[in-house]
Amino acid sequence: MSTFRALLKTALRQQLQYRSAMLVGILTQLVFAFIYIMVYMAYYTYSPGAAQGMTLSQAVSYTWINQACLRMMSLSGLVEIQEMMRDGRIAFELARPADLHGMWLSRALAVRLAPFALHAPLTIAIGLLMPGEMRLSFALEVLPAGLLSLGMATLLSAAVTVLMTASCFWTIDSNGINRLLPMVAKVCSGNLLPLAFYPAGVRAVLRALPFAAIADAPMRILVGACTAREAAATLAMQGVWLAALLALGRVVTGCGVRRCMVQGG
Amino acid sequence: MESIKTYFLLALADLRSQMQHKASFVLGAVGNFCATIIDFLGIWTLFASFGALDGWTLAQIAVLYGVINLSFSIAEAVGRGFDLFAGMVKSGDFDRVLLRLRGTLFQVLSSRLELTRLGRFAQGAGVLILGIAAQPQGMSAGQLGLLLLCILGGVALFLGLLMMQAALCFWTVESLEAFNVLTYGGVTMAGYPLSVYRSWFRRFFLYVVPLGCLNYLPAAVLFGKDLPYPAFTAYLAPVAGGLFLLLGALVWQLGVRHYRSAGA
Repeated sequence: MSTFRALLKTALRQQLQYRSAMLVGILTQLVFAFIYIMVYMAYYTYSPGAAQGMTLSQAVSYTWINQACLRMMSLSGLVEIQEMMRDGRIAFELARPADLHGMWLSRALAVRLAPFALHAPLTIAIGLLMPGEMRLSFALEVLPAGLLSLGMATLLSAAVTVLMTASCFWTIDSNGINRLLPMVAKVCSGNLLPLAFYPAGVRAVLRALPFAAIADAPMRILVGACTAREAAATLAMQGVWLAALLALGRVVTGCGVRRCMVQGG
Repeated sequence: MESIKTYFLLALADLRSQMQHKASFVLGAVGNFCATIIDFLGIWTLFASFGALDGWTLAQIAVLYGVINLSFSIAEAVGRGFDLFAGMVKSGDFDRVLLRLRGTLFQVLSSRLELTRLGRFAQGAGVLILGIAAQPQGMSAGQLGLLLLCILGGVALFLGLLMMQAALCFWTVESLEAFNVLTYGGVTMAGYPLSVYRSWFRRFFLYVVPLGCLNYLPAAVLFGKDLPYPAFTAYLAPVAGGLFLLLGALVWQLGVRHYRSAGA
């Protein structure tokens, strides 16, 4: 826990070093939110009722949350650790008096949470203050479930980050995984489009995958686009994936360390 | 003429160096293709469930999307030197550029030709060709010529944006990503008809950064949409791209005069 606190503090401080970059990041989120929201509004105006299971207001809210949480839900390995594996400094990381998997998980959580803590509040606030149809509105009656789901999504994203990092024990080069997985995730997670807009068959498959558990699941509950029963099922699905991916991360990291060769000299 | 010859000489040299790592280049281009075609898949999916957008068919949207993606991919490939310009200023390498006898714009432009952008180019071209082929009445040579003009105007506009972004380096090398809102955001925005946006948003992309002049206005006239402007504006609109490029060059010249070396 103290490891996590120290890492989170470092990550926050690192983010705060680049204040103008932070503002630009927020501006980018706002512009993309506006584009997608206006496009969805047009689609709904010309063929209302075409998308099953999601109203315009829910799609708008989904877009706001999606943009606000983009950095938290994005997938990428821990770049600094991946570099260490390449140049041999990984030896230092292995020598630290802490459990490696736990430490990387804390690091991944800190890296996901820090930008979220600094980016999301302003974007969410602007979304809540927008007039008329463009306003973000949460489904208050299931808000606790939504927040719980968001928390699990963050943990899941950190668990995948650890797996992506550990994969470099085998591949050494991090380019492949760091580029490929985010593309797959963009399509499958609800990041590109709310999964409600996909054809029913595709949607059913995607909703069962861990990508959806990271983005679509919490957003769908937060905007109220599912029944209480569906929300419970979604939470359970997230829990299963979380347990599975954490266990897998633990095993993979352990195996990786055993076959790890310190590069350089 | 001489400049064009020199440009190709330098570009070919740069290409040869990129081709030293062929696998890396191929993967880069394929990755670029996949990362950008995703956006059209998104549009397609939305059409599959909603049917139409503001009276536009999928084939018509494909033309909008293809034109803007082709423009941006060419500008990105050719203007990559401007994208990397912050490094040149930070390292002091720009001093050497100033010492040479060629113009600064020419030298920065010819410093890099990024061929991995072929990925975006290929998907833009594919979508555009499919879009044109799917037009029920077909398209005349004149209409195709107008689209070509739009693409050229778009290249000019995006190059102008890249020049302004690079010129900003003469004052600050921070937060240049702000321009991504206009480039990447602009490409996303222009993939849909401008008429779906609110009026303040529309005005910005018609009169400030005139992206709408380069695909929406001409396409709207081609496809017979109602416009508050006379039809001949469609043929004038691509000129806006050229004007924007001139503006970018002006900002650049202003910046060069402001340059103080950081290198040793």
